[in-house]
Amino acid sequence: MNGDIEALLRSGLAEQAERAPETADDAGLADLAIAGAHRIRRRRRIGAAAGGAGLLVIGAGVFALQPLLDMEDQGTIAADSTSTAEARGEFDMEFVIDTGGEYAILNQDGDTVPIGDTEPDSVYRLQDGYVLTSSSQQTTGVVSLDGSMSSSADWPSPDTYTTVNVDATGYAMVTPDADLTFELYTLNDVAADAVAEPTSFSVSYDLTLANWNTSTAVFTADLWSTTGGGESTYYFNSEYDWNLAALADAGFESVAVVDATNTDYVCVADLDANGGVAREGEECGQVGTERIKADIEATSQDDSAVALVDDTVDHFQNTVYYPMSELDLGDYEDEYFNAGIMFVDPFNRWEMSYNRGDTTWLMIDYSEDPAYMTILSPPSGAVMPVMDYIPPE
Amino acid sequence: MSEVKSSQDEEFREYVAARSAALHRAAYLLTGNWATAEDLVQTTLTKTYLAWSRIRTTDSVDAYARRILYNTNASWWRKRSNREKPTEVFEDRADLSRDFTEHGAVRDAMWRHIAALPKRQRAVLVLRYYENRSDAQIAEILGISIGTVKSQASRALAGMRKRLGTPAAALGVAMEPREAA
Repeated sequence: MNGDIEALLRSGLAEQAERAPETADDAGLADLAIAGAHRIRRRRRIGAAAGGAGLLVIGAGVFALQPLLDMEDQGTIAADSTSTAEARGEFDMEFVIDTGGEYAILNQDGDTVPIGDTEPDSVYRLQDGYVLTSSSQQTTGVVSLDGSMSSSADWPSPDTYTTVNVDATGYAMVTPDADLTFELYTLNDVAADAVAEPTSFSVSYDLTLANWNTSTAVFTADLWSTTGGGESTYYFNSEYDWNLAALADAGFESVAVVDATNTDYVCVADLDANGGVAREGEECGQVGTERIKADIEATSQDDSAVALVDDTVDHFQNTVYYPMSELDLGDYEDEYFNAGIMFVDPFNRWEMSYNRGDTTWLMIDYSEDPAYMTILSPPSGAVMPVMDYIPPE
Repeated sequence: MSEVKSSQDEEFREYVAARSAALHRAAYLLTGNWATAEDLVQTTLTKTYLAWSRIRTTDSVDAYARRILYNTNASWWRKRSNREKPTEVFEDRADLSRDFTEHGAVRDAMWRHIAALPKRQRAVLVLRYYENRSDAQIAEILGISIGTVKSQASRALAGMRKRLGTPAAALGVAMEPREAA
């Protein structure tokens, strides 16, 4: 859909970049950087000698949060163990810990759930299990909440990534082809007591799967550049090779595509499960209007499909933007931007920055207004937070 | 200064000599301004040096520096977002060898559009179309989800299509917009 513009961008950006001036004095650049770094280190030493923040670590499996920027309250909070409980309650936070070459999840109850001897890239908490991704192994795995069951699937390509549905009941392994024309999706339910067969389909790269249930798949895409927001029938599937028939073959009855540039706008396609596309063209219009709601219900034959689309739109609107904090990080700015590891909560409630081996991590709490910076003392051996995809109540 | 320290500094200088031009190019595309790009690279190198003893023996020195570059740029735009307005026209050095060709006009129109984009969208475009990073890599560098990368790119491309129509439209050559059948 954007091939000509993309080609223009590739050539134009490369051409513009080549017009950058030669860096005349590399040695000078390096020496300036070295001198600047020494000044920062001196300032840190002076700052540390002047006091700094005292930290509180309460036993194994417990972590403490201490606001850094509200200095008057620090003493009170550091001495008050209820603030720790409040923090745990607020975020339901769990951690991946290294127990000497074996990895485990330290769950909300303080129990450890073994997850094997390979350090994952990320761990997602779903309703009935944990999903683990590993780029070194090129696998996505599932471990039950008590650790008693596990399974693993190989990635088709190093570019494979994993996405979770809004209700946190399943995940998709997504693999783009080399030309970024199509993406192969493999959907997996994560159930406590059963292993379901995965469902696979391949659709246009222009579509990004955002949510799904048994009847309906919800994607996001750029619709605006074609429709301009028009309430009408459009023909994306046939015009732009979306390949929606593959979704019918995978058992879906309906597809809703939410406009990534205006999430109040959606196009609905009608499918026959295992029978191809049931209707030529997609009905497009405003989310929440009677016409669109009726079309989603009629095409999906599922009373819950309208809510599925609404939930997807809400989630997309609430999480598509990375929090743009105006927080002044003060003396912690260097530590924050030197952090090699950063995790952001799937619901944008918090953000964590640290380096491997750090005994304290920087955390920005976005759940409060205004957001504030805290120091987190993670549990012993913690290597990363678990990404909790269970929707907050 | 100890010999170890001196050796580390020399390694750092070699790294800067090898990579600063590439960092400058990316910084210029991100900021659209030579002076700001130089500040951004200098800050990036300072932060890279702070971590040098830890990262110098790894294979990911350049990835680390790139991440610092993009994150520092992000921090600058966050801090300035209340008062910063998009640059109307990117600072552009005169290119006396360039004729006013169709190619140049289209590229200039594109460049003006990029200048007006929100900075995160610009960062996504630079990473995707200049550095040829995968969406998963962009997500990791910018600390956002892959879906957000794709939606930000989609939004930027949609805006660009609106503004340029087609490359020919950017030149004022009338063309019918593409319609769904």
